[in-house]
Amino acid sequence: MDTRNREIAVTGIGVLSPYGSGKELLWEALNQGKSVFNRLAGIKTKPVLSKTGGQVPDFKLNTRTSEVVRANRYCQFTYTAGDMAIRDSGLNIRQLDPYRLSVVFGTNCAHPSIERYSDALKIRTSMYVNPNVAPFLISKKIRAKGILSTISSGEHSSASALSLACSLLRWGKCDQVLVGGTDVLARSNFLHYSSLYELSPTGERNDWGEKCTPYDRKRNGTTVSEGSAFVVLEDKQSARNRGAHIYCDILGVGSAYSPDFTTHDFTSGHIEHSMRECISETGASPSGIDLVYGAANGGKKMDKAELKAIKTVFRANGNAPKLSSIKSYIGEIQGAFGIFNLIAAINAFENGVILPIRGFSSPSFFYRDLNYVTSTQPADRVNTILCNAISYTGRSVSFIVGRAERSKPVNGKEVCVA
Amino acid sequence: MMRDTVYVTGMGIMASIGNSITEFWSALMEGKNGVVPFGKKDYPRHPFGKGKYPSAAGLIKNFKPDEHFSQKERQKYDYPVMVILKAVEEALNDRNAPLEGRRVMVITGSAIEIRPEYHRMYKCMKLFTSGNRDLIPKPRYYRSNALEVMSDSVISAVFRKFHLKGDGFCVQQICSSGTGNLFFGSEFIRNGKADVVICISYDLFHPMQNILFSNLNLVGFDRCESFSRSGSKAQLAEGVSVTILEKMNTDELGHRNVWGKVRGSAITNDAYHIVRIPPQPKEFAKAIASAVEDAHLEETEAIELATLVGKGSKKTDEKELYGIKSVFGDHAGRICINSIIPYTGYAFSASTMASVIASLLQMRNGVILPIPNFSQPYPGYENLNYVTGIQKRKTRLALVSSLAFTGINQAFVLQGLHQ
Repeated sequence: MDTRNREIAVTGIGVLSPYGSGKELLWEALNQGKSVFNRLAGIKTKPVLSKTGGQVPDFKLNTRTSEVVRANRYCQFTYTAGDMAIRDSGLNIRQLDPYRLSVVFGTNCAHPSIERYSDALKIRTSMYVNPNVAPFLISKKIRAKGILSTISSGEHSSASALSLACSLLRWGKCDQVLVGGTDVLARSNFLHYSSLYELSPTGERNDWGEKCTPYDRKRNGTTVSEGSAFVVLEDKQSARNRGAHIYCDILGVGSAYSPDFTTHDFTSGHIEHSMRECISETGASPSGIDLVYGAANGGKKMDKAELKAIKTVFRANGNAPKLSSIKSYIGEIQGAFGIFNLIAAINAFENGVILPIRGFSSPSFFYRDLNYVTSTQPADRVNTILCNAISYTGRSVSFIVGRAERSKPVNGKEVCVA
Repeated sequence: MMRDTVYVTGMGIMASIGNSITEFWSALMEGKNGVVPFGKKDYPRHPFGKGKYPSAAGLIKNFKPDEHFSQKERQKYDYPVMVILKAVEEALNDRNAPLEGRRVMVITGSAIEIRPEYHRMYKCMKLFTSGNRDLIPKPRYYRSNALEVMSDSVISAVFRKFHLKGDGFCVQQICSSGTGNLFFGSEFIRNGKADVVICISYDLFHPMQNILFSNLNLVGFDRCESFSRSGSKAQLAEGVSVTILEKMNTDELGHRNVWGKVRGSAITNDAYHIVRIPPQPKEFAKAIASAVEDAHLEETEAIELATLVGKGSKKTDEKELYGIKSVFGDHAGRICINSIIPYTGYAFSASTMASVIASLLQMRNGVILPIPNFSQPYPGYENLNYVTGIQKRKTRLALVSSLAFTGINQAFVLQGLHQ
């Protein structure tokens, strides 16, 4: 069977966010404009000026499996969110071919491992040091015997996992993929972001106040947070056949790499390339994109690079889609951001809300002509959303999600019509 | 469905037994052992003498960064990155063709990533945040870029050093990372997503790894005896292995050095236990069966060589032998089985890619390498064809496998091409 033109649908969501457990809590809080930023508990922030972040509150593990119970917080988050996604998808695992069910995962979690370096010396904990153990625990739970892979290299990780999962489905290597990302907050990765000069300083020492306002002229940095998010991807036709609820379609994926980004020469070429690639994969033009959920996190240079790329790609076509970023709500959620961005895009289709940029006041002078979303808007006419995930390590991944109900075949390929 | 053929056009290696493909092959032919003892002078901060752990590993020898890198580059890159760049340079020179106009992808795979350096990194970041920049240890490059501690730093260094443009990411499948990138790389080419893929597998050694793996009872004190009943377990090592995959048209095939083809590949997962192996490792057999099916072998073609992992651990060795026996049936006795771990030591992901390189070299040179110190096979697997002495025999198709914690199994069918 030729699977190259397979249509890919999202049929299950599992999320563990700083708002709590479950997609409903996340969507409700996002739609109400709630922020996750609180004073960090259990993490020594000195000598960094920033004191706040988003932590998952009151996490309780709903399993007695000894392998998971003695695992670290990162593995437990992954297990919980992955299980949630599979339940939500309604897949009957016992009826599936286990070799055709895969788990692809992304994390930026190498850094918290530093603090647990002593774990490597203890036999009971040394098993959990590697990032690949977390997706293994969920693959064991769901009896997934297909491909198990992790991408652990920056904020793009879960978006890269999504890109890889779409490719695996199209290459015919599997039929269902559980794809997600997890990152937890620890002193080490908090310090890491601080050392990049990317954390927003706290109001204790100056007048700006700590905030995360992407694309804003007065943005002063980002705020880090933690969470885990998973989605189930499968062939759209088989999802329809089993009567599954289809949240959205993944219409195209693009990625590119730039070594300049890592040296703080924040060039925009690779972001532009990844956006163009995913737009061309859908067979549409930039004018067919209704909304862009960017990866901007309030950092001075990264936001500028993304704005430049968006302007180049869309203004040349005389069309500026609505532009927003969910990092103004959840902060820099590290490697899990790609899937969180996808879930926020699904929110637009499910609940009909375009999320504004929280705390946005005025744009930069050079990018004033872009269509920033500053207040909650209805998403009735939004059918295609382009999501970006950009990492400080230099990779940019873009993907386009389409409204599932209104897709219709055009020249043998399903393209969403605005 | 027509798919592009994946050719291996360049190889580079930094291993405990040789710092180039030529050195590596001649050391294999001589039956050298790359494992050497190390001490306080090699790792001054390591707490030696606490516990009974082996103090030997397959370390990379005679690599002098100042012979290959300028002073500016030496300041810029850390030691592990320079080792990797040296192997990539060898592979690109081996490929010996321009990259302009080709869609290039760099995929790295590492089990430990650059964690050996973490102690220093943590110190570095602490100082960063306290604002005392003058105390940051060398190389001073970290002053401007804390991101160099991440695994993407390897991709960034390769892109910068060799002026590449394209895409790249890191695969983490523990010990199978080294061939995980080969799997994804060959699929990217087959499906027209990339023209050239540089697959880099690396793992650098730190004595802490000996402690970790001794806790799991996976490190031996003597030379590894793969597939032997009375054998000792593998000793750890370090290394970098690089292969360049690409698609080629018929005109190019005539006048380019091509090592071989990746005919088939497959990955499965035990979904059983993080470190234990299921009593009946059907999943590994399934990986081999799927790779052979993916290779679309003709009736006249058969696997003649199997370069397996062979870590000397009873469970993992039996797992591999079970896979070969159950998939190939009667033909299993005609497949020559060997392993390169007794030569190089076990360098995690770099070892699995080194197995790919070794099998292509064996097919190119018409030689089959023996398993050093092989004594007595495991009960139930006596009828398999273990290579005990160098054989001069031309082979065309080889099977390479890799295993990892978390139950990942991979199998590849490679076809050797003569120049």
